Amino acid sequence: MTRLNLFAAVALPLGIFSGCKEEKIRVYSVAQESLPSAVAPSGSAAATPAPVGATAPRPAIAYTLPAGWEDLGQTSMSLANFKIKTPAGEASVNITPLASMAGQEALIVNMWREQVGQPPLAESAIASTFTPVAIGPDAGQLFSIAGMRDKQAVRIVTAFAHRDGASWFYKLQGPEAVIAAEQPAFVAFLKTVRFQPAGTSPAPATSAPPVAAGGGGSAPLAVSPATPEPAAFQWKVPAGWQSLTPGQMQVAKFSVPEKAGGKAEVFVSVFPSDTGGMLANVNRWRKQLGLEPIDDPALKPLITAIDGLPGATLVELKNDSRAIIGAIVPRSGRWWFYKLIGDSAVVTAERESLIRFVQTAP
Amino acid sequence: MKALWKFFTSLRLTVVLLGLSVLLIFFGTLSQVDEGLWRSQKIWFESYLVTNQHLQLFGWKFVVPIFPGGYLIGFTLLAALILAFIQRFTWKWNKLGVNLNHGGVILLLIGQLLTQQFARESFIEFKEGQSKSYAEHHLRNELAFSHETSPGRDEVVVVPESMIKNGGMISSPSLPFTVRIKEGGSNCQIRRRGPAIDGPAKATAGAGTEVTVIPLAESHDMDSRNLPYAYVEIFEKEKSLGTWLVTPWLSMLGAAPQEISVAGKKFQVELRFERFYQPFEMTLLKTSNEIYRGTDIPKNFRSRVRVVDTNTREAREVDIYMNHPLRYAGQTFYQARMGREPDGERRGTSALQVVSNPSWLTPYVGCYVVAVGMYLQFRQHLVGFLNKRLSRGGEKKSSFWGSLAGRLLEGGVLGYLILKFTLNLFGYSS
Repeated sequence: MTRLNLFAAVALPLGIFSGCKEEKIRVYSVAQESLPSAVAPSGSAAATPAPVGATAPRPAIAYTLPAGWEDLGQTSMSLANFKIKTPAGEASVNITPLASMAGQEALIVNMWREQVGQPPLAESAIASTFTPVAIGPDAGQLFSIAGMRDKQAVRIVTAFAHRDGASWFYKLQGPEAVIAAEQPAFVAFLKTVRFQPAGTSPAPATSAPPVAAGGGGSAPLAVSPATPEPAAFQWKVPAGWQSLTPGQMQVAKFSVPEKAGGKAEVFVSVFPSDTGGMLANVNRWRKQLGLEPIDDPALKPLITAIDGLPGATLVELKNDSRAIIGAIVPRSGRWWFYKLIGDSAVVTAERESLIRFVQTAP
Repeated sequence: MKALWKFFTSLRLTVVLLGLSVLLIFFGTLSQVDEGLWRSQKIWFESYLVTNQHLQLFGWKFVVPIFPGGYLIGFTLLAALILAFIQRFTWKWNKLGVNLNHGGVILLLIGQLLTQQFARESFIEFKEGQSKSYAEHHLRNELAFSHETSPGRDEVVVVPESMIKNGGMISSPSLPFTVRIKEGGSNCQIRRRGPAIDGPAKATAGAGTEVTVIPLAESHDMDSRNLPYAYVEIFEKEKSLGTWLVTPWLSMLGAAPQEISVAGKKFQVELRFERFYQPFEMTLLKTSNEIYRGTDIPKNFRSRVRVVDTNTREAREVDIYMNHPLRYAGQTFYQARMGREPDGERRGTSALQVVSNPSWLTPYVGCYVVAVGMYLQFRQHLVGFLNKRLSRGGEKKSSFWGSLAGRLLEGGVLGYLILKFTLNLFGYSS
């Protein structure tokens, strides 16, 4: 065998091999996917669990349609859709039931604000944007957001109420002038909503949330933004911490032992996304301490990892006598926010307790 | 030709390539800080040439303008080894060790090449009570068109993600239409569309008319996956039938499958995680999920599954848990993740990692061959050395000492191996 032949014998298979991973269109035949069959767990008397991905029956509602509203029927994402045609332009209304978003009102408002190019509001300012509204038999909340889109003044009016473990959203949106004229009819329409009695539970899984969970994509099974009930928590609360009634945006709230007259509190919130990332949250906390916002390079020295919690970050902020220690912990597709805020001496004294608390699984 | 031959068979080239391999691993490791594991693998190891890579080490930032990629180093090393082996190969007993060493290293490199080409990692993620007959890739996606060919059976035409390019046209003899990719992206979020706010929808049919896509930068984080999107326009001959939005988000959020009617047939279209259908159906029966008290450290993550062979209907129930994978149908199923919240959405869910590697034995065989080669080489040198050192009274005596040392060495090695094997056999693995 000549050297040339040897070269060819070695190089050719290698060259062919390296190029043989080319991807092509494939055609194959498979058995149709049926809805997953529920199988009783082996050796267990437990009730058969609901299958993943099964499409639950859609809830039924009744209502009285205002004059001039056109019923467009159901879609795969909404339970009801209406079109309002006026000489001034067109508006739309849709009704969407979702998995319970109770306690995440700020997230909802800020998502809607983003749609019309408005900056997010601070948690403390959210409650003041709500006005009570009757949605059929339920007491709901209504908020209105104005903004610009394609050089046109637009407005979104949203009413929502939580019932039977779901959150129901009623959204009127369109050009500012049309919405101003249609809002009274919308509020009157909300009063006419009637839910079908028991037997048809709301089916949050069949509708898309206003903004899908998980920045940068997340695990397929982690899309529900449901907030756990406080009773479900198994965390170890540090000695001396007193449990308080959590606020609108929180799942838990604690007061920590006073120190030399100084006070501090711990807040815990859960969101289906990182709500804008570390920098946005740190700047929000800085604002609460009266500190100027910082940029990305300045953020890095401020944050540290938390032992035993991959992806979790801890940030410590101080301004004179006030301080915040915040922790952001991703857990199974949700983001847990812990904030210890108060007088510097107390915050410093409780630092280790907070870290231990954060490290225990909720 | 002679110069090229000399170049490829020179020891110097092999040493340089080995040095470059060390550097490649070092740079590839540094790259993981910013690029994440998967992208680093692509950039540094699954490429021929790496260009303009920004790295940092202890805060010192530097640029690697150009560097040979893993494929180039690997293939050149393999070619150099094979050619050098052919050039220097002589069939003599005293060369057996060296020859085996070379053969073993070549086998290791070929094994890696085979693994690269044929090994596959995927996941089966399901909830208690759910059955699945396919695994899904943890990174890659595919555009799938399916239609019913007979009751209960679908024909599926699958377009790999690499072919979904902006402006690209896709056609197949199995599809009565062509597909134009109008716009797409590697990662996105979706939200409900506000008709008066978002302007006209880019999709003209299907669920895409109701949602707005927010394109996101590609994530390199190992713990999350990118969820791509594409607006696809369907043409029946020259006539446009409309534009559909496809993204894994739609099925994840429970939207009804999108249908396209062409030539009297109904096709379902979806952009989904790349699927690998299996010749069996696996049902998750029960998950056990224990952690050490007061900690977050897993103690016992266990999935009880029922595996039913699609053809023979033979069924078996097995437990898959940490360090106890299931080996079935040429694949290995490892316990990978578990839904752990006490009352959360993912409670009772389990994810099994499915590894298929037809060449899994090659590295073992390669290592054994190298070990035997090294042993023979070492023995030969030791015998020669002892003969030289211990010979005082002539040829006869020296061969006695050398032979004795060789036999002692072999006896020791063999004795150790037998002892180790016996201990392992009775469960004393350490």
